[in-house]
Amino acid sequence: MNEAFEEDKQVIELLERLKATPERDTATSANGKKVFLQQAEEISQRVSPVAVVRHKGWMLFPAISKPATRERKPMFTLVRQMIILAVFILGGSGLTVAAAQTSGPDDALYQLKLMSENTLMMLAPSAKSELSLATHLAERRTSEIQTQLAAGEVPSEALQLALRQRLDQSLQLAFSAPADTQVQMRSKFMEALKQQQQTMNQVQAISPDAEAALLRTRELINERLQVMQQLSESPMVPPNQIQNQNQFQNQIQNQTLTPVIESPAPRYN
Amino acid sequence: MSKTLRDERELLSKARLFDQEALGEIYDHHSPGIFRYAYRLLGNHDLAEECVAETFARYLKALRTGGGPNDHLQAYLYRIAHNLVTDSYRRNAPVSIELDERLVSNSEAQPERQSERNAELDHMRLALRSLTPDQRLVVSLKFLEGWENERVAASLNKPVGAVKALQHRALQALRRILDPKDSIQ
Repeated sequence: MNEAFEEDKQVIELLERLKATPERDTATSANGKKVFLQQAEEISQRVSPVAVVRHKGWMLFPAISKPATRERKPMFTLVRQMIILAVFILGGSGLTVAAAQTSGPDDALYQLKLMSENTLMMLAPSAKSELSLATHLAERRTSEIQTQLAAGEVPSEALQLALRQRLDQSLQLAFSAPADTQVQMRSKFMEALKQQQQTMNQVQAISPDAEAALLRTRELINERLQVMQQLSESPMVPPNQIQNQNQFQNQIQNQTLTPVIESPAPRYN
Repeated sequence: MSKTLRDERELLSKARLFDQEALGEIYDHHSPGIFRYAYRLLGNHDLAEECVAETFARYLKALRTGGGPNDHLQAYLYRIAHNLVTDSYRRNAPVSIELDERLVSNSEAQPERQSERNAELDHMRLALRSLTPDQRLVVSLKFLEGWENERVAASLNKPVGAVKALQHRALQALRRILDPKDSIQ
C-alpha cells in the first residue's frame, strides 16, 4: 500500500514537471482575441437579435414532420395497394371460412361452412379423394345430428337433407369409380356407413320430435347400406345398372322426403 | 476564478447577445488557462494556440445555435479543449517532441541536461496520451491545473467518487506505463 502510495507520489511529481509552460506570446494572444471578436461580430449580424424568437425545434418529431419525398414511386404504390387489398380480401374471408368450420347447424356461419364444403368437393383432384371427402362430410352431418339430439334439440329437415345428399353423392361415386379402385372404394364407403349406423343406434332421443328425427336418420343410413349390400354382390357394376341404381336412389329420396311414421310414437314420461 | 457565480451568469447573458466587451473579457480571462492546458498535453506552442482559437470558435458556434453554458464556463471551455486534444491525438501519430527554444530560459543550463529533460516530458506526454479521455481529463485538471475533486467532478458531470476512481486507475496506468522502477529516479 505504502509502496503504491510512494509510486503515485513519484508519478505526480513527474506530472508536475509538465506544469512548466512557456510564456504566451502577447502578440499572438492579442491577435487571437481580435479574430475571436471578429468572428463574434460576424455571427451576431447573421442571426436575429432575440434567439428565442427564431423558429427552432420544429423537427422534434422527424417521423411526423418529415416532408414527403419528391421522388414518387407509382409502381411501388400500386403493388403495395394490391398486396394490402389481397391480404384484406383473402386473409379476411379465409379467416371467416376457417371460423365457420367449427360452427353448428344453428350458427350464423353454418351456411358458409356448407358452401366451403361444396367448393372443396369441386376442387377434389380425383374420384377417390372425392369419395373420401363426401364420406367424411356425411360423417360430419351424422355427427352434427348426434350432437343436436344429445343436446335435446330436434335436427332440422335441412340438416337431414344435407346428410342424404352427401350419402347419395358417396353412393354414386362408389359405383362410378374406375374399375381398378371400385371394390376398394365400395368397401370403404360401406365401412363408413356401418360406422354411422352404429353411431346413430347408440343415440337416444329425449322427446317425441327428436325420436322421429332419429328414426328418419337411422332409416336414411340403413337404406343406403342395404343398397350397397345388394349392389356389392356383383363385383363390377355395368353403367346401365348404375343408371337403374340412380332411379332406385330417386325412389328412396321420394320416400324419405315425406317420411310417414306409421308406428305409434313411444310415450315419454 | 475570482468571479462570483452571479457575475459569471451576467457575463454569460451578455455573451449570448454577442456583447463585444463581455466576450473580450471572457477571452482575456480564460484563454491563458486553455493555452497552458493545451500546451501541457500537446507540447507544441502552435498546436496549443490552434487549440485555443478552435475552442473559442466552437463556443461562438454554440452561442449562435442558442447553446452554450449558463454557468461553469471554465469547465465548459476545458471540455472543448480536452476534446480537441483528444481529436489531435487521434489524427496525429505520436512523434518525438523537438527541443523547444522557448523552454531554454535558463542560459546556465547545459544543453545535454535540457535535452534529457525534454525527452522526459515527451515520455510523460506519451504516457498521458495512452490514458482514456476521461482519465486524462481528470489527471490533467487535478495535477496539472490544480483543481479540487469537486470542481473536476462538476466539470465531468460525474460524482466525486467516480472522479476519485478515475484518478486512481489513471495513476495506476501511468505507473505501469512509466515503469517507475526503471525510469523514475
